[in-house]
Amino acid sequence: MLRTRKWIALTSLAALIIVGFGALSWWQWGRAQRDMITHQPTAPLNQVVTGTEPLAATNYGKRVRVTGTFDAAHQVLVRRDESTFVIVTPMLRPAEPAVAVARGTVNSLQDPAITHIPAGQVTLAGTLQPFDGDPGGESDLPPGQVKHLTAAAVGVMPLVGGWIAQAPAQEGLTETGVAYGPEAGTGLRAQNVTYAIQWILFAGFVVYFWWRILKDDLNAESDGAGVELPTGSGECRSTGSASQDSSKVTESRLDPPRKKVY
Amino acid sequence: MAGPTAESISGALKRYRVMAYIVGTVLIIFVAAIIAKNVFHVIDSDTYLAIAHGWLFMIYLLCALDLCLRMRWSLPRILFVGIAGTIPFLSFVAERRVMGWVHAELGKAPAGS
Repeated sequence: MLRTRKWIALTSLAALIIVGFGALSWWQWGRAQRDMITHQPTAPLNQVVTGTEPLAATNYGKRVRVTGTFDAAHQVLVRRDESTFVIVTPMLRPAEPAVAVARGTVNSLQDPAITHIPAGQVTLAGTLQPFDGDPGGESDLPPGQVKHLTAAAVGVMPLVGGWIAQAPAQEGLTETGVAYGPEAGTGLRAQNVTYAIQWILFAGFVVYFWWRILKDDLNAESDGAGVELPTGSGECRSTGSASQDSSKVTESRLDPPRKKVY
Repeated sequence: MAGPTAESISGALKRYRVMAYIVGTVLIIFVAAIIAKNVFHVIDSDTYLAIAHGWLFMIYLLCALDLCLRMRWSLPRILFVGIAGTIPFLSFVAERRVMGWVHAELGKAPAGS
């Protein structure tokens, strides 16, 4: 009876610890993601910007989400260097000004992602960025390419006074490097990932040592005289180990029972 | 599973001691790195040491629990030995204590066991 009660207590304690360790693992998993762009809070664009005036500096780098349809006809490529282009596609929204979205970066003008523009209504998230100042002058770039991302370069009216760097970028595209806001492309934190794994393994330890204590207990019982097994399953009786008594530390070594908890 | 023989205990004690020294040393290096990073700003990251200590501590804990169970020690004692692997210098203290306990208790065992 005492034994049964002890095992109920021990098993409940083990279960509690496992649940606790699981929670700690989950917590570390959350912490491992804290730098990731998908983990930053986002607000609907129209809660941050409503008009078409240039983006206020206080909104630089803010995470926003927006819903609309891409206007493929007005897509422009912003040339960062000889082979790096940012794909900027305006997004049209009913009853609200359009907004320029940098879908991502490509390293070749032949990249199929340039023309692979999602059709229909799209919801995406990204960080707000200010337009470049207009340097004026003639551009020597081919049509459809610009050096500076300005409202005029996008060529849609009315247009929100800043652009959105989509993050995470559309599938198949590299995230656009930005001047403001949480850094794009930051991954999981290795340290917290390992802690998350370790908490799970610690929970495994609990199971393993619970099992060992149980086995010890059953062995001790079958060694001792006539104590009833709690489960009554004969297979659990030690098979062989009891016969190795000569090599085994005798019970007298382990007795009188020390402050045993199990 | 073999019962707690003196031989198996001495094996468990050996494993525990090796891990206590390794974890204790890595932990001190880790603490030095934390200070170097946050106080003197001479290094950028202590992440690798944190990760190394994490895994080594796991092995330490496994060895410590194994030994404690074989010795049938009480929960407070098990907790002390386990937690010692996370507190600088304490793992060395714990290692001395554990040695003392094991020798005192094994000494009582009948000869030949």
